[in-house]
This record gives sequence, structure tokens and C-alpha cells, in this order.
Amino acid sequence: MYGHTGKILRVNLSTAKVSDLATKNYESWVGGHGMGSAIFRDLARDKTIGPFDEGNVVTIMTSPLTGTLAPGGASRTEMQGIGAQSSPIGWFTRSNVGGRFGAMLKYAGWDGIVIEGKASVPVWLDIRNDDVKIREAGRLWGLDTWETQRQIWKQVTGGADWAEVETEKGRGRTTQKPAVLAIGPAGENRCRIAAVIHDAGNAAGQGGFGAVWGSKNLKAISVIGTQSVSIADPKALLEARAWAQKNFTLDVDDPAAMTGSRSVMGNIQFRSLSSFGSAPVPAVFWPRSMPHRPQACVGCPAGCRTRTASGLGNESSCAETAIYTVFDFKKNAGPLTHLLNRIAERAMGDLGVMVVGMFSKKPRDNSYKATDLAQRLGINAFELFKGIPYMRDLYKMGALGPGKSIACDLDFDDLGSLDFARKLLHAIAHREGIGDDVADGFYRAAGKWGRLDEDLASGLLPYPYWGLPDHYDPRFQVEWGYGSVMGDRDINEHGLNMLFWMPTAAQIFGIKPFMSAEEAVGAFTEKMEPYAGDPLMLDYSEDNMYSAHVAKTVAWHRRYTRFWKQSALFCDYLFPDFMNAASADKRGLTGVAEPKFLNAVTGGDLSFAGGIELGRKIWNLDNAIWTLQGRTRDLVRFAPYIHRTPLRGTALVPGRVNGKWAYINAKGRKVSEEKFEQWKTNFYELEGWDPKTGWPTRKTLAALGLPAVADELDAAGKMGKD
Amino acid sequence: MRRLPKPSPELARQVLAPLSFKRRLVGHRLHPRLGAIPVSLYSLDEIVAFLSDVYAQLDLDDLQAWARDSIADHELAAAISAVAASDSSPFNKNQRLRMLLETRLHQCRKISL
Repeated sequence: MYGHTGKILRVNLSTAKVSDLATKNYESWVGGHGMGSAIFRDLARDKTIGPFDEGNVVTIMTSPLTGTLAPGGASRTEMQGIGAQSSPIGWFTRSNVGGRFGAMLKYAGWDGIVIEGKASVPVWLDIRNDDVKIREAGRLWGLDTWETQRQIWKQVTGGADWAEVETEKGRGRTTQKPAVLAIGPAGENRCRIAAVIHDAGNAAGQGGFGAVWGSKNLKAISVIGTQSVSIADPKALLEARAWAQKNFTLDVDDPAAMTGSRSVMGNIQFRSLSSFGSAPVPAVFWPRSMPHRPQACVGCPAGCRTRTASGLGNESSCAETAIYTVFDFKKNAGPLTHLLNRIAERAMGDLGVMVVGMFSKKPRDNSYKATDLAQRLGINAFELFKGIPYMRDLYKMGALGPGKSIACDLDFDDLGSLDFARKLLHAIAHREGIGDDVADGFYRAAGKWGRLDEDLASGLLPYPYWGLPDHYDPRFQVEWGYGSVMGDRDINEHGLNMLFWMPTAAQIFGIKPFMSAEEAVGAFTEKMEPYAGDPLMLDYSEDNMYSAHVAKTVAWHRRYTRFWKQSALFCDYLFPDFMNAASADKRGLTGVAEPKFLNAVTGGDLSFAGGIELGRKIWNLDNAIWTLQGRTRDLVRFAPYIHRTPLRGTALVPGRVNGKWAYINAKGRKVSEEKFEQWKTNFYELEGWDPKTGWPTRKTLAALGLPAVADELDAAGKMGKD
Repeated sequence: MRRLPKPSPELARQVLAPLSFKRRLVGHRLHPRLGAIPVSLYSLDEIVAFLSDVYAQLDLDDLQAWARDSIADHELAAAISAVAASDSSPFNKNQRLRMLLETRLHQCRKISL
């Protein structure tokens, strides 16, 4: 298949053996997650082991699109293995990292990397095209992720601004630095919330893979390559790119194009969500903006992160940039805002107030520095984002602090200062004091502190599934919560969030939604093959949220993302693109674009629906692995607060009221425990799994071409009943 | 916007006092990539800072109840009620409330000096 280099690097750290797997043996999975799951199933003999067992297998996979010019599809790298973060079982899970690692891996001639075993001493992997060495990492152990990368760059390039690397045909030269994945002290100390970091701010955060690497004594993987990716039809790929740009992107050089729904106000409904038609707005949440330029992963037009003039906060985005923002702002916002507001209101009325609200924050850089420190120490920012407010609430409650039941010598009155951030993050990464508890995640820490039941019941600890932090609340963004609890992690897939964000943002500003509820539901469901044309899939009303229609929504979402996003590796930032402010009919490019780009690269003829069906196969394989690990229907549960406490805050989502479509407010909603059980039955039946156990059935696995998986389940006594 | 009369020193002390865990206000920050993020607010200062966020959500009934019951500032509660009842977008209400609360904050700080 074009797009592949033909081989996957296989490294056994226990035996120091370096070999390769033929990509063609896994080609039917196309790439990324599908290949990773298949390889894991083949090579991990015992799936019931824990994350730190020597038998754990970690896969790092690219796709045919990686390293090409496919927009939003050229840079992601999928990491899989048994994770350390979730509870009660460390599920076989996934994480994903952008930047340039995947592309460089392809340029070095590899479609992926498989790590087995455990080194007896700290090591790093040095890949220079076909030349692969396992090197001792004694000097690197203890360094942070940035310093580790600097040391490796220096060693590989000899300190020069370019590198010379052997190739099959001779010597290749590149001005690029090696692309490095590295762990910091958090990973070395097996913190279950440790991430793997690449460059300044790309992180494989979820799953605790930093700790898994630490348990294998693997400090870093460096790769530098001077080759290229073979593309079946380069002309078709460039034409597809031009087609997307012409029809689905905003022309920022044309002021006339920036009106109506494409204006700054109109674009509020699209900012930072999946749409090619959005203005290029980095997804960063600093308390103030510094002079910066957009920064993007390889081949991506979005530029969702920044490089700043100060050098602070480079490449971090999304929740990484929000871990300290609130506290920095609370501590450091001053009276300037008040003064500016008065002046602006008198001069410009409401518009002036709004402008000031957006920009009049007193300059501070503590939030930037706290984020950079988390990246350097290799800590999963999303846990910090949810966990630091939890610790503060416990402190205010009088449960945590010096001499309290949860002993902690941090001064929470100083929260927002740089000193506090340094002390807390170092304590976590080095497992010192209260940091030793938090290093295993806030869910496990709450258990150790004897607070888990109470705080999961009240929602003070917002961890709705698998001991993992809340992201989009299941009480209104139903498919997110249901998909996460049916899977292995916070899905972190924003494809349907526009259905919440677009009407809710419009309501906040008192403007008309870009689409009516009925229009929006139509625009989405017409693409949701094989269930296209069922609008009730996106009826988020309480009457419908436990229905078989919503089972189809979740199934579609699991399948779409398992293939198109996690195997073909289109980025969550741009795909799926259902709704688009720049296109003539408001429809996005999803459904057409994904196969157009993939087929141009591979030379294949996979349809959009074909990819979703392949996603179903991958999703079934994953469920089989979870079943082997110990998954049963009874384990699939939300934390009690999802069932017992009403949703606070406004959340508008499409739904039917007396048979008519509207944007309805989910405020006050709970998820019925009893009805959710019925929904689970609907879902299992739709998937062809045993509703009693949630286990796969032979009939379903056989129909998907997975008879060997069925045999493995049978041998383990975990075959669902047909 | 309604003018707030000068608070008494006792009221100023109450307004500036930090809130206990049980009396805290919980708002939500909305973000397209992060959902609705709960934020605990433990002082008037924090509420003002919170309302500076473009996508801050605060239940205005809770806010009125807090002004009335937690800090016994009935004039502030009435002013909040007037903003809540106005025909305006949630964003504009938030901005007006922020200015209102910030005014009260400065009044109280001036008196407590």
C-alpha cells in the first residue's frame, strides 16, 4: 500500500533485540490504532497483566497520511498499550501526540514502533533511518523532558545545525533536529499521571504512558530521517488540498468574506472546534495574550497552538494552557479592568465593555510558566486542570492542610503564585509529601484520603468514569459520556460538540444560531453512515437520551473515531467537519474529504462508510481485549454524582419539544441509573454483544473476520452468548 | 446602572470576608474544547475575576441569594436582581454585574483602609 514505508520497528528492551515487522501483515487495518490493537493482540500474550509488567507491549503507530500534505492528517501518532491511569483496571488504552514525530518516523523509513520487555538500566532509542541503537540513558535519567531532548539533539547532530544520516543509497542530509519523545521525572517515578512529551508542548497525556515507559527504563525515543513517503497519486492529493481550501476555508485575506456568519462574532460559534471554516484561532486559554504567531503540526493549516515572543508556553494548547489560568488571574487581576471598563462603556457602550472583557487583564506569566513546568516534568496536564481545584476545595473545607486529616504543607493562600506551582508540580513528579498521593491521580488520592465515596457522590471530585477526570459532562453531551464509559478513557473527541457550543455561544451573546436545531441535526445525521437519515440520533431530550437511536449515535461515533481519527489519524481539531461557515451550503467537508485524501495517498478505493465499518472492527477488537482484561457489564458505570446531582449551568442542545425541534436547556438534568442500564442493553444489542455480560459474541467476531479473537475469548472462558 | 450607597464599615467587613466552603459560589466556565468547567468562588474578589471571563456562567439566583444571605448586603442583592431582570444577553448581564460587584469591592476596600 502506498503511504506505508513497509516496516515496523520492533524493539525488545529485555533482550536488546532490534527487528522489524512487515507492515503488509497488518495492512488491512490501514494504520494507527487499528494496527496498534492488532499488534498488541498478537504480541501481548497475557492481557491480564498490569501496566508495569514486563509483558506490557507499547505500540507507537503512524498512518499512510503521516508525513504527507493531507491537512490535519499528516502529523498524529497513536500510542497504545496497557495504561496506568484508569481504575479499577488499567485498561488497554490509547493516547495520541502531534508535532513532527510521526512524520520524522516515516521519513526514517518506519511505519511504527513496538516496544516490548524492560531494560535492565535506563536506555534511549536512537533511530537514524535504518540504523537503530539502544543507548544507555544514565546521563539523561533525572533530566526534564526539554533538557533530555536538548542533550539528544546535541549528541545526534554533533551540535551542528544540520545532520548527516546514512541511507540505503548513501548519505542523506537534513537541517531538521531529531524528533524526540521523552519522559520526565514523573515518568521515571512511575506517576500514573505521567505523560510522554515531544518538543516543547506535544504530549501523549492520557493513559499514564510516561509511567509505563518509566517502568521499562525507557527515557526517550529519538528519530531522524532523510527519506520520503511514497504517494499513489500526488496530483490527486494536491488537488484535494486545493479543493478543501477553495470550498471550505475562510479567506482571511478577503475582508468581504469576513461578514455575517464569517465575522468575528459569527465565528464565536466555531472557534476552537472542528471546522475548516473557522478563523484560525489558537486553542489557548492563557489569562492574557502575549505577542505570538500560530504554530502548527506537520502539514496542518489550523495552527492551534502558539510560539510566543517571550518563549513561554510554546506549543502547549487546550487544557495544558488552563491548568493555572484561573488561579493566576484570581491572584493577579487588578483594578485596571474596572477603570478600562468605565472608559470603554462611556465611549462605545456594550461593544466597549465586551472588548475590555476580552483583553483587559493585568499581565502575568505564572500560568505560562506553570504549564511549561508540567511539560518539562512530564505530567498529564488534564489531571492537574481538574485536580488542583479539587485540592483547593479540600483546603477550604478544612480537610487538607498543615495538621489536617490530609497532611499538606503547601500554602493554598498562595495559589496562583509561581512558587506554589513549582512546589506542587515538583512534589508530584518526585513523589514527595502530598505529591506522592497525587502522583497516582486524584481519584486514587481521594481513595487514599478516605474521601472517594463522598466526593464522587457530591461531584466535588468530577471524575465520572474509570477514575478519570470529567471533560464533557454526560448529562448534556450524552455521546461523550456514554462513549467514554463504554470504552477505556475520556474519549476527547469533539466531533459532535458543535451541537452544544453553537447554540450555547449564540445564546450567551444574544445572536442567532448559525443553524436552527432542525437544520443542524439534518446536516450532521445525513453524513452518519450507516445510520444516515435518522434525525432522532441527535435528539438530546431526556425522553430520547436512553433510546436505541442514541445507541446508534454512540456506535457511529466510536466507529468513526476508531478509524478515521485514530487509525487514518485525522486530527480531532479539524475532523469531522459537519458544519462550516465558509462553505456555500453551510455543510462541512466530512464524508467526502476523509476518503479523498486517504485514497490519493494509498491508491485504494476505501469509501467513507467502508472506513466506518473498519472502525467497527477495531472497536470490537478493543472490546475483546477489555473483556480479556476483566471487563463486564457491571463495571460499566458512571460515578454517583452523574445520577444524583442536577447539572448546573446552561447547556443548549438540540431536541424535540412536543414533536418540534428546538435548542433545549439541559440545566438541572441527571442521568437516570435505571434508564442508563436499559440504554446499555440497547447498545450491546446493536453491537451484537451479549447484553448480559457486555462480552463479544462469536457470531459478531466471525462476521467481522476476527475468528482468532473469538478463539482467544473462548479459551479464556469469556465468550458472550449469541 | 444603579448607584450603590456607601456601605457601613460592618457591611464592608462582611463583603470582604472570604467565604467558607459551604457558602462558596460555584460558577461554570464554558469552552468549546473543555465543556463546562466548575469553578469554586470563595470571595467577592474571585467572583469579579471570574466574571471577566467571556464565557463565565453564574446562576443569578445563587448570586442574589449569596449577596442577601451570606454577606447581608441587601442593596447589592437588589442591584443584582435589577440586572438579572433586564432584557439583555447573558454576556452583557455578566459585564454589568462585574462592574457592579467591582464597584462594591472598591467601596468596601476604601472604607476598610
